[in-house]
Amino acid sequence: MTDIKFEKEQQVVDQLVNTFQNLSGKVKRERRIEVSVSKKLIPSVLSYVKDQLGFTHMSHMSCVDWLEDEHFELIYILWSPELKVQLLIKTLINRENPSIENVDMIWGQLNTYQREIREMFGIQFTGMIGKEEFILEDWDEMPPMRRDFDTAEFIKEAYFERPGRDGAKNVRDEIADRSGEEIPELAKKYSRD
Amino acid sequence: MMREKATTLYLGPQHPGITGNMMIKLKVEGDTVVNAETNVGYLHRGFEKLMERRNWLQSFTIVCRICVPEPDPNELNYSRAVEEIEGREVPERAEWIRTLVMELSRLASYLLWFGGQNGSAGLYTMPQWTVGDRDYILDLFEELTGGRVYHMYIWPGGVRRDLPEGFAGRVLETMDYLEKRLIQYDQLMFQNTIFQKRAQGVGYIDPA
Amino acid sequence: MPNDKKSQKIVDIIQNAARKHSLFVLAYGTGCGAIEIPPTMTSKYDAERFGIRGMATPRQADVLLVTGYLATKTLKRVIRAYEQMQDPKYVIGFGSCTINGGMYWDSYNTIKLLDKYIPVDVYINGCMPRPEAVIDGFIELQGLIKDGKANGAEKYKENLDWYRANQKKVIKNWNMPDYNW
Repeated sequence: MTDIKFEKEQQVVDQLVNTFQNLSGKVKRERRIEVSVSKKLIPSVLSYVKDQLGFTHMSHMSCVDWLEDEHFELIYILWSPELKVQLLIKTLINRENPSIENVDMIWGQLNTYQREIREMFGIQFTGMIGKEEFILEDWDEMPPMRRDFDTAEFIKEAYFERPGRDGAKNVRDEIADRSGEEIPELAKKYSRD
Repeated sequence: MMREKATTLYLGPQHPGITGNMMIKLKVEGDTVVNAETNVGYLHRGFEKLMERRNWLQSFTIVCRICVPEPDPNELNYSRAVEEIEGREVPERAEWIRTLVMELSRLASYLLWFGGQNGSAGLYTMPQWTVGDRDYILDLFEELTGGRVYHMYIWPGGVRRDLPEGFAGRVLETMDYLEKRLIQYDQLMFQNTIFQKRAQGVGYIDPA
Repeated sequence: MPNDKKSQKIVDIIQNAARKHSLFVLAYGTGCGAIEIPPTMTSKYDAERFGIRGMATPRQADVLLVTGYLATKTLKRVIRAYEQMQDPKYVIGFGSCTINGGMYWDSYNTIKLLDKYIPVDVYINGCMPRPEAVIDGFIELQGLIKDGKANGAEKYKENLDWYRANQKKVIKNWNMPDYNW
C-alpha cells in the first residue's frame, strides 16, 4: 500500500513544508492530509491555505484533551472543492492557562466553534467577541469536557437516584451470583468502575 | 413621520410554530424582522462525556439519538471512525445495504420537514398527508431493524443482519406509491399562489 | 342547589365525563420523544377520535406531555409553563427517561427522576413508545379521571415547599416568584 503515490496530496504537503518552518506533514490516505504546526503560526497558515492553495471551506474545529501529556490539541478541518482533498491542521496548547489567537475574521463560522470550545474546555481566544454563555446555563464548576471532571461525583451530589439502582450497576456480578458460575479473568478487565 | 423603535420578541422554547426546542430572540419593526439571535442548549446531554464511560461497542447504542428526525447518519459516522482507526474494510454487500438505509432515512426526514414547515405556515392538510405517508417508510424500517425511529443497525464492521426475504419488492411498491403522491404535494405546496406570495424574496442569502 | 352528598356525586360524574373526553395537550416537544407525537395526532393513528388535540398556550391546555429527558435549562421553562396552566391539569411522563433517568443516567445536564420536581399522573414506558402505546396511556388517564384519582395538582399545592426545595437544588439562578401562580 505504501507504493501508491498520491500525487496531488503530496504536492500540497510539499508546498506547505517549503513555505513555513517548523511544520511537519504527511499523507494519511487517499484524499486526507495531516499537518502539525506550532500555535504562533496558525493565523498565517490558515490565510495561506485559504488564498493560495484553494482550501476555501472550513468544515469543523475540534479539541482533544491529552491528560497524561498535559496539553490540549486543536484540530482545524478544511476541504478544497477543486482538488477534493481534506486537510487537518493540528496544534498543541499548554494545559495551564490555555490561550490562542482568535481567527474568526478569516471564516465567520469559527466564532460558533470557538465559543463552544471556550465553554467546554476553558481555552481563551484572545480578541474574540462573543457572549460567554452558550449552551450551559448558570454553570460555575470546571469546564465539563475536560477529562478530570468527575461525572460520577457530580451526579451523586446534584441529582436523585432511583432506589434499587445499586444492584443494577454491577450486572456481571449479579448474574454470576445467581447462576453460580465464575467470571473469567478476561472479562474482569472490561468493567466500568 | 416617526420611525418606530424595534420591539424584542422571544420566539421561545414553547411555541406551536417551531418544530423542536430552541429560542430565537427577534427584533421586529412592524412586520419586518431586523435582527435575530439564537439561544441554544435546551437539549444538551454531553455525548462525548457519556462515551468516556462506555466501551466502543456500548456507545454505538447511544449515538443514534444525537439527531432525532434522521438518526442514521450519526451511526454511519461513528462506524466509519472506528473502522478507520482499526483499518478494517467493509464487505461490499454491507456498503449497498448501508446506502439503501441512508436513502430511506433521508426521504423520511424530508417528508417530515414538508409537514412541519407547512403546519407552521397554516396549511394543515400537508402534515396529515406527509406524516401519514412517512409511516409506510417507517414500516419498512420496522421490518428490517426492529424499531421505528431509532434503528441501531449500522455498526462498526458492516450491518447487523441481512435483508429479509422479499424486501426488495416491498421497497419498490412503496416507492411507486410515493412517486404518485409527490405530484400532489407539488401541486399543493409549490404551485400554491399564497405560498409563493408569502415566501418569494423573503430571507434571501447570497451564495457568495 | 342543595349541597348534599348525592347531588355532589352526580355533578362529579358529569364533570369527569366531560373532562375526560376533551383533553387538550400543550404543544411543547421537550426531548427526543417528540418525534412520535406527529404520527399519533395525524391520520394513521388518529388520536382526535378520543378528543385529544394540540393547543397553543399553557393557559388553554389541560395536559402537559413531558416527552423524554429534561435538561436543567428546559426544566426551568417547564416549571413556568406548568404553573401557568389552570386547574384541573395533568402531567404525563413519556419514555423511560422520566421514570429512572433512562439512557442518560450518567449525564451531567439531565435530571433523573421527574416525580421529584413536578407531580406525574401516568407514565408511559418505551424508547420511543409506539403510537398505540401513547393512546393506551391516554386511556389510562381517562380511567383515572373517571375515578377521581388524578389529583397531581392538589399534591403540588399541598407540598409546594418540598417541590420548591428540590427544584432550587438543581436550578441555581432562581429568578421566578416563589409562590404558585
